[in-house]
Formats: sequence, structure tokens, C-alpha cells
Amino acid sequence: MFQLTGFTASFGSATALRRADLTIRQGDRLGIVGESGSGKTMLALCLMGMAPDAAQLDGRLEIDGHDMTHATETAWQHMRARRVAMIFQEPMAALNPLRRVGDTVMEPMIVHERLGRDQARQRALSLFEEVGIPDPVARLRQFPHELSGGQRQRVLIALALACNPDLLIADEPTTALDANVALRITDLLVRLATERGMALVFITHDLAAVARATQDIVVMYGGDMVERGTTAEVLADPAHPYTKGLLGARPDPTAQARDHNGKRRRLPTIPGTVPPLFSLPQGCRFAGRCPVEIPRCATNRPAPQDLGANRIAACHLLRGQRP
Amino acid sequence: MTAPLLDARNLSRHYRMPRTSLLRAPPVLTAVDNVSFTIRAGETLGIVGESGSGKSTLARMVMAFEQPDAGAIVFEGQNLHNLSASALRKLRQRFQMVFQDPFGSLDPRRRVGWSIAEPLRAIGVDADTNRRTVEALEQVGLHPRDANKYPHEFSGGQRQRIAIARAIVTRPALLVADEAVSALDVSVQAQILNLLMDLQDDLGLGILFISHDLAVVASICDQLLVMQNGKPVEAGPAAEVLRNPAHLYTQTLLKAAGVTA
Amino acid sequence: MRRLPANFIIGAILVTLVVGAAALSLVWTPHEATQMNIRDKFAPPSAEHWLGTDQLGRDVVSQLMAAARNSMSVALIAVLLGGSIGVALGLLASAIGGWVEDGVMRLADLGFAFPALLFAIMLAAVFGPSLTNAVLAIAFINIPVFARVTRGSANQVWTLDYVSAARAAGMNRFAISRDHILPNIAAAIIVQATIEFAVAILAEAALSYLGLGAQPPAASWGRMLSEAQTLMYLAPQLAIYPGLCIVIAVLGFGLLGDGLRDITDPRLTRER
Repeated sequence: MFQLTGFTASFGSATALRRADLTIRQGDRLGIVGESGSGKTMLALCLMGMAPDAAQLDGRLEIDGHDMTHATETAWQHMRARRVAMIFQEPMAALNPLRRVGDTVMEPMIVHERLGRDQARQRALSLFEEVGIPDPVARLRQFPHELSGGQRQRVLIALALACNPDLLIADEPTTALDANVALRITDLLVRLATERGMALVFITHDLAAVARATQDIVVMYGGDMVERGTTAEVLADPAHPYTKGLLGARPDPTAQARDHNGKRRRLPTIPGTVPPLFSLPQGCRFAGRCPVEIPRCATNRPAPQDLGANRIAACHLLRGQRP
Repeated sequence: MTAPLLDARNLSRHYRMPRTSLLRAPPVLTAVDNVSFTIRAGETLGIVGESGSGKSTLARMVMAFEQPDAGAIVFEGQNLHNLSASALRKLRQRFQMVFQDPFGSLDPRRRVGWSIAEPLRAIGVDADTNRRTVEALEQVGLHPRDANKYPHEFSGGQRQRIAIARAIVTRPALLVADEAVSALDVSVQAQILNLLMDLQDDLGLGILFISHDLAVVASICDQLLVMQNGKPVEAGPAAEVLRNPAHLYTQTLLKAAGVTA
Repeated sequence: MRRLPANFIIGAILVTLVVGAAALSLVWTPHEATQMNIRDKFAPPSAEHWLGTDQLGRDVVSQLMAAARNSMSVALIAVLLGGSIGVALGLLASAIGGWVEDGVMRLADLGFAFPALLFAIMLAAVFGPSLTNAVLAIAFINIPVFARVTRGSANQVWTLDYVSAARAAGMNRFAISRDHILPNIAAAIIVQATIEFAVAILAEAALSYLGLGAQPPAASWGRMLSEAQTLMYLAPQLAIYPGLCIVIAVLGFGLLGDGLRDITDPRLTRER
């Protein structure tokens, strides 16, 4: 359905996204994991045709075989809402505080599908029910500030589903929410994707949420897709040093803070910090922080290698390979 | 058994909400309801809860930014809320705070060295300000010449190191960390947690560590207090609480934190 | 480099024009501004008198320049004086809070409710009309404006973490106001000062027009206007020139202030 081939987005000399290859099929649930500056949000914006004007795009972005890389805003407007929709991190900021949430949800149906108000209202009602908003008739008439954070996120999901998109992009949908609310929203997204046969791209820095929500995972660092595979396999047996470091640095809630001698356990860390976009290393983006680095890492970009079973990683030092 | 560094007894805090009607009394929000805890030197107490659980109000009371409506906070034998303004200012060098937002906690118009030395100026230390600023920078793993830079020249993790340097420059006994690693990337989070542990070992700090993330708390805390809607729902040694969460709410938090749920 | 907003550029040009003329008048005017020459009265524009002369044969250009200088000095002193007191009150209100803040703000409301002209007339009635009293009156109306802007911006800064950090460090409220609050609200105050400068120019012109400001023979746009009023049919240009000067000066500072606000207000710059 959606296909990226060697897709690059850059701002002058700063590359936000470098030669990304990605295929999204109907019903896929794909997690995109990375830290700030990894390019994950840039990727989402490109899939929505919402890359900033200053970005130069290269490579190919196809939707159903049509090249959309340099498509016009008008062409994208046809895609948005009906083919691809998006929900954002901050549910309060994404809703107009002066409009009733019902009107907000009905707008795309009236604009895109030319539904009458009554029809649109009917569909909004059933959407509110579908996303688990209690007492939907009353909620339609309420303003965003009258809803809790979780309810607002549900409204935004209903809004995104208004025109039955084939792909839903969720950019950090649970980061601003409390843990138990976040769990329920995550489960809701999974349920909706399964029931509707809709593809879901779940972008987050939270490995726990990705493990819960997705079948496949892409790990991003510094604008590169460093590893890809099924979520279960990648999390259980990471191949790329960055994925390993990221999983190691994530504190384990069941681990003890002190060993049996009463000494504190230190957490494994990735040294250094994510370099800013304009000073990323030329070769592997992880060079300089990588524990197993060899000289050519800094200068040569490791090509993505097929490890079998849909598993791909971009590193010079993968299993069984020695320089 | 030595006396605890900090002893908080039966703390409560209410906020008066805006009136909803002219005739009715304004509604009262109970932010913290009868919470007690102690922190010993060299020990970390974790307070876990979500937004609205009252954990930040608790931090503000421990920092003496706010008065409790009931209860007392005794720090090194002195009741924080009975002290005169000048005695409190003097005592402040003994307890310091690290904030959540590494971009908001440093004055963008001031050089880093100036910000780090601020607590020293507040207590009237003039003589070896420079030496102690450099010492604090080195303790948090930064370079002495970073003192002359501005906050915007640093990444989030480095700024949090600077904030920690400012907090330890007066050689405090207690550090209050309010969501101090929540805004950081995972790979940087672990560095800062390790730094806090190193400092605790070196300086014998007591730490009050506030977070919504149970996994982070588990990695650093000895004692744990779980809060919900202003009330303490579960407390005890961290290992105990995490192995056998008694309260349903703790179980939910644990579930949300687990990678392999 | 971001493009500067148009209002800022136009404002800056007009302000440069007025301030330039005022500054030049300190060292040079075509003629002595107050020098009368009855024989030359109502002279048309010429190489000698670029905009002609008035009913007493004084050179109009020279008078306009001297008036610009007077107007600028009055506005400058009034805004500095009123601004300093207002900013100090606003900082104090914000730092202490509670009943002090309420008290200062109610007083500010009172000041707002009191028209400047009325206050100037009162001063004039008690102490006699003079430029000093005009300055005091304009300064007085500036106090509540600055107090309110300062307190509003300062309250926002007080909620920021680095201010909490300074409190945790044991700094007292006055040191925090000086070290953190004032530098971080300076932009808002400068913007306000520029706009108030325009208001002050207008107020000075109005007071002088009513005879409560600059006294003869001191040059003033407002006074030129009131003198020309009786000669409207005979020599309308004598009313038009000072009126035009007032418009240029007020518009210039007003646009400059607006432009500065556009540049410094992060809410506007972020949206581009």
C-alpha cells in the first residue's frame, strides 16, 4: 500500500531521514522506535505529505503504486483523512478549544464525503461508541476542556477514523497520558486496527508500548533505520548495537536496585548524547557512541543486511561477520 | 538506629478551588491527604504516582515552597515550617532540588557557571565560588570550561547534569528530584540515574525521587511510596513492593512499565 | 536571517526622521527658532524659509525642529520616570504577592481611571501651567501602565523552573527579581515603552495645545497648532505642518513598538 524506497529528507546539509526503505501493507501494525532526533516524526510527516517546506525530498514515496514524492498539496489533500490519518501526542493542543468536539469530528465527513449534517452526526455517534466514549450523545456537544486527557485522545482517534483511512499514524499517542489510561488507549488502537483491517504505524520512544501494540518494529537512530523485524524477535534478541544499548538502558522494573552486598547496581548506558542533525557522523550514525565500533564505521554507511525472516539490520559487525 | 534525615509526618494540603456559585462555599481539593515518610542519609525514597496524585505538591512542601495545612516536616531536627525566613534561607543549602524540564530550569540569559554558583551567592560564599563551581562541574562529568557557556549550547542530558551540579554545589544532605529523568531520552536517562547513584555513594546524599515511571524508580530506590489521588496506597522497601504489589493500582503501574507484559 | 516586519521598518524610518531632526536642532537650525521678524510674516516657502514663516515671521522649519526636540525630551523624561516607578511597583507586586499585589493593582486601576488631561489641569491649577507639570502628569499616567505590564509578565516568569531553582538555592525575592525576572521581561517592557512614547508625544501636544504644557516662547507642536487655529482661513499651512509632525512621530513610535512586539513575542514568531 505504502512504499518508501531510498527515501531521504534533508535540510541543506542536515539529513533528517536517510535512504529509508519501508513497506506498509494492509493490516500491518508497525512500531517505529527512536529517541529525539531519530527521524521518526519526520517519517510520519512525510507519510502524511506534511514535510516542512524547507525539506528537500529524494527517493520515492508510493501510495498504491502512485509516486507521491513530489505530489502537490491538492493531491495530498485527497489522500489525507481517507487514505492516511494521524493522531498526535498532545490531545489538548490538537483540538480547537472553541469548537464542540462533535463538530470537529463531523467536519471531515462533511468536507471530504459531502455527507449531510444528520448523516455525519450518525456516523460521529457510532465512531464515539466504537472508540469507547461513554454517553456519546452528550459528549458530541461538549468542549475539549470538559473532557479528560484520555477522552480527548479518544475523540482524536474518532476524528482520524472519520473517513475510514487505510493507514493510521499515531505519533507518541500515549506519552502525555497516565499509565493506566495509556494502556487502554494502546489496546484500543490495536483493537481498531484489527477490527477494521487498517494499518497502524505506532511511533514512540516507549519500548513497553511498542511491545504491546505492534507486530513489526523499525528502530531508528539519527535518521537511519538501523534495525527492522518482528517486534518479539527484535526485543528478545536485538542485532544492532544501538538496539542492544537501548534495551539495556531501559530500567527493568523487576530488577533490584542493590545487589546482595547492598551495593547499588549501575544501569548499562549508551555513552555520549544524540548528536545534533547537522553534525551526525558520515558513516554509521551511531559511530562515536557504539561499543563495538571499528574504523570504517565513521566513514562508510553500513548497508541494510537481510538476516532472514524479514529481519534487517544496518551494521558492519553483524553476527558471523568479522572485519 | 540513627535519626532520619527527613521526617514527614501526617502531611495534608488542601487547595481552595474557584467558587462555582456565589452562595455555596468554594469546593476544596485535597492534593495531599495524611502522608508520612522518612528518608535516611545515603538512602533513596521513591514516590510514584501519576498526574494529580499529589507527588509534586509533596515535593514543593519538602522544598518549603508551600506550607502543609496539617502535619510537619522535620529536616535534620528542625521543623521546616516553623523557621524564620532567614533561618530557612540558611538551611536551604542543606536540601536542594533537580527539576523535570532541563530546558526550563536554567535561566537562558545566564552563563552556566553563574547559575551553578547561585546557591553559593545566596548563602554569602564569595571566596572560593570558582573552585567549588569547577568541582561541581567535574563531579557531574562536565568540563570546567563549560562554565562559560550558555544553556542553549547543551543537550537535554547535559543540562540536567548542570542542574544537578547546581544542586550539589552547596554540599547538601538531601536532594529532591522531581521527575528529573522523565524528559530525557532513554539512553541518556540511564546515564543520569547512574550519576545520581554515584553522587549518593560519594556524598552520602539522601534522595527523594519522584516519578511516574515505576521502572525508573525500581532501578534507583530503596524505599517506595505509591500515591493515588493524594493518598498513600502502598509503601515499603522497593524490592518488596515490586515483587508483591498488594494494591491494584501498583499492579497497573507495573504492567504499564513492563516491556514483556 | 528572518525578514523584519514591515511595521518595524516603517516605524524605524519615521522615528529616525523625527529623532534626527530633534538631535540636529541641538546644534543647528536654519534660523533661530524663536527669532521674530514682523516684516517677513506669512512668507511663502523659499530658499531662505523652506516652509515659510508664521504670523510673527518666525521660520517654520526651525520651529518644528525645536518643537521635535522639546517633544522628545518631554516624552523621554516622562516615560523614563513613569516607567521606572511602574516597573518597580510591578516587580514588587509580583514578588510579594498577596495583599501587596492586590493593593498595587487596585491603585493601578485607580490611576487608569484618572484621565491624564484632568490630572494635568489639576496640577496646572495648583502649581501653574508649565512644561515640568506636563512631564509629571504624563509620567503619572505611565505608572499604572508599566506596573500592569511588568506584573503580568513577571508573574509568568515566576512560575518557571529556574526561578524555583533560585528560590531553592535560598535567594531572596528581591535578588531573584533583579537577577532573573527583570532581564527576562525586559523585551516586553521595552516594547511597552516605545508605544508609551507615542502616547506621551500625543499627550504633550494636547497639553501644550490647551496651554498647560510648553509656555511661550518655547516651541511646541501643540502650541503651534493652537496659535495657527485662529489663522486657519488665512494660513492653513501653519496648522498642517505641526499636525503632520505629530502624526509622523506618533505613528512612527507606535509602529516601531508594534514591530518590536512582533519580533520579540515568541507566540507570533513561532507561527511564522
